[in-house]
Amino acid sequence: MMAMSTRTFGGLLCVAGAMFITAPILIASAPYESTMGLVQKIFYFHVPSWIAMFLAVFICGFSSAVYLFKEKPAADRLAVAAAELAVLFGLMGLVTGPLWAIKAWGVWWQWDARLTMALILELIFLAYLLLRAYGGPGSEKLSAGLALFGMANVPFVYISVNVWRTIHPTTNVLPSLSSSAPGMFGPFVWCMVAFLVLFVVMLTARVRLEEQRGRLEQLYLALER
Amino acid sequence: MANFFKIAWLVTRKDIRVETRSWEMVSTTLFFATSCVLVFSFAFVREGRPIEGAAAGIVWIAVAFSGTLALGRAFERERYQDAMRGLLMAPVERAAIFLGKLLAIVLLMAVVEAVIVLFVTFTFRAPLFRFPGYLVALLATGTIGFATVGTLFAAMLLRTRSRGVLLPILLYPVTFPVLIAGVGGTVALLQSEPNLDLVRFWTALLVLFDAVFLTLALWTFEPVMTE
Amino acid sequence: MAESRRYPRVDCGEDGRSKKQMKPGGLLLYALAVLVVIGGGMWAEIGVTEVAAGQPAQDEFIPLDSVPPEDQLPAAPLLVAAYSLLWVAVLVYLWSIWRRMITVERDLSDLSRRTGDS
Repeated sequence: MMAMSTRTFGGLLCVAGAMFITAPILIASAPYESTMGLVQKIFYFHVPSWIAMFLAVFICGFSSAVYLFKEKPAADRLAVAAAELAVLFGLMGLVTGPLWAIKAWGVWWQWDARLTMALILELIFLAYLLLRAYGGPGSEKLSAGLALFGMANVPFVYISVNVWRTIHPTTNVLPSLSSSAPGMFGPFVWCMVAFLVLFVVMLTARVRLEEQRGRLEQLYLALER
Repeated sequence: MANFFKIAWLVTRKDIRVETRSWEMVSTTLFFATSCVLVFSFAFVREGRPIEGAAAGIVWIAVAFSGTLALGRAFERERYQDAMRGLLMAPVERAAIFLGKLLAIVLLMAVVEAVIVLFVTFTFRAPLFRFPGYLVALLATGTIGFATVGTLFAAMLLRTRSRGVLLPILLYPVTFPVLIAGVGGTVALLQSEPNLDLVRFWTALLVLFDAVFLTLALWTFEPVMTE
Repeated sequence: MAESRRYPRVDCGEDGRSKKQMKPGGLLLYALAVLVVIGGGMWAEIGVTEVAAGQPAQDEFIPLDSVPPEDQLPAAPLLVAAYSLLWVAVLVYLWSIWRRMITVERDLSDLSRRTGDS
């Protein structure tokens, strides 16, 4: 399914690396936020982490649905890879968030809707990985079912901050960024693209690992016959 | 369509009949739920006075724990003599089987919740019965949401190794929104001046959860149970 | 999975762990590594707060075109910790994929040699 040549993969990896190395320069040149000062700069990595996580969650959810209803093994491989990435990027968001929060809000954690639901998503996909690891044979379909339910939880994450009163910046910050703080928009887009390229690179690598594992399974079975 | 509900009712009736012959699940789940609330009362009731706001959370924790236990037991029964395979081989829509099992679990949990609420009212002196209609709406929608996800996962895990520990691991993160909404609504109900608008909001959100999860569960029961 | 296609509707039982499954130890180590780094970050933050408390209080506001140096110092360790954690997480993950790939490809070449011989 991810038929990417080694050259393209290597190229994308270099692009991601280059963008990440140059990102701090752009971030340092961006203007400071008036109430949060220096620590707000975690925003340039924190928000793309969460966006990458949601992307992974949706990829996992949709490919799980395809696997459940069409039984395509490639879809299952994509789902596993996306689930691992969802846990990774979620972990990054959950770590950078409190580091920002302790300076900006004075507390490490707040049980407001968005943080809570983000933590829940992380737990769901951790449970997915545990199920794959310990569920025994046949856990592919079961984890696909779980991923679907996990994806169904996502809309509640996004709308919840607009329904609850919360100290978390509202979702209106991002859309208005280009007009309200143009100096911040450029570095943000740079970091966003860097994360997306990195995401594609890691997803490809992980799916390739699953493909090789599948081939290994086939060979073991062929040997048994 | 009528056939679909008839099949579901047949499955529910089967479960009720099995249960009424032994009362095993009702008695063990009830005992567990009351022990749960008792343990919480040791922790949260100091010198005869309960900690502020503990009652709402404890009701829902007791519901979640005893619900998980009941789900595990309900499907453990189906393992004996391959009862589940027999059920799945029946020439009926599988979603109807799911609905039947769901109804049976919801009925069981309704009985257990009635006792939990009574017990919490007395041990924590919480005015849970001030607005019984709202409370019943909250509990009903919350239980349906929890049981929907639980029934699907428990059925899914029927033949899985480590199913005992995997059920709570899978179930709790996915049903956190249900539990949060339930606790939020119950807290609003138990305030000295209850915020009924908030209670209605949480109930509406629970109805939305139930609609989404029930649809998903009915849709995925068939492919998840096949190999 | 190929096994279940061969043996439909059979309880596969308590057999050994399939090679396809992820090693749980790796997941645990990964989580532990993140916890250690978070702990380190928190320790750094606690140290920095003591430094910030010792500085003299400001009695006027300064416009924010350039952030005054007193405000920069406490936030810098947090910022550095956040960025370095991201880098560490990404690198550790890429390394873990690479390591797993090496194992699988070694097994693959082993097996294809054996099936080639037999």
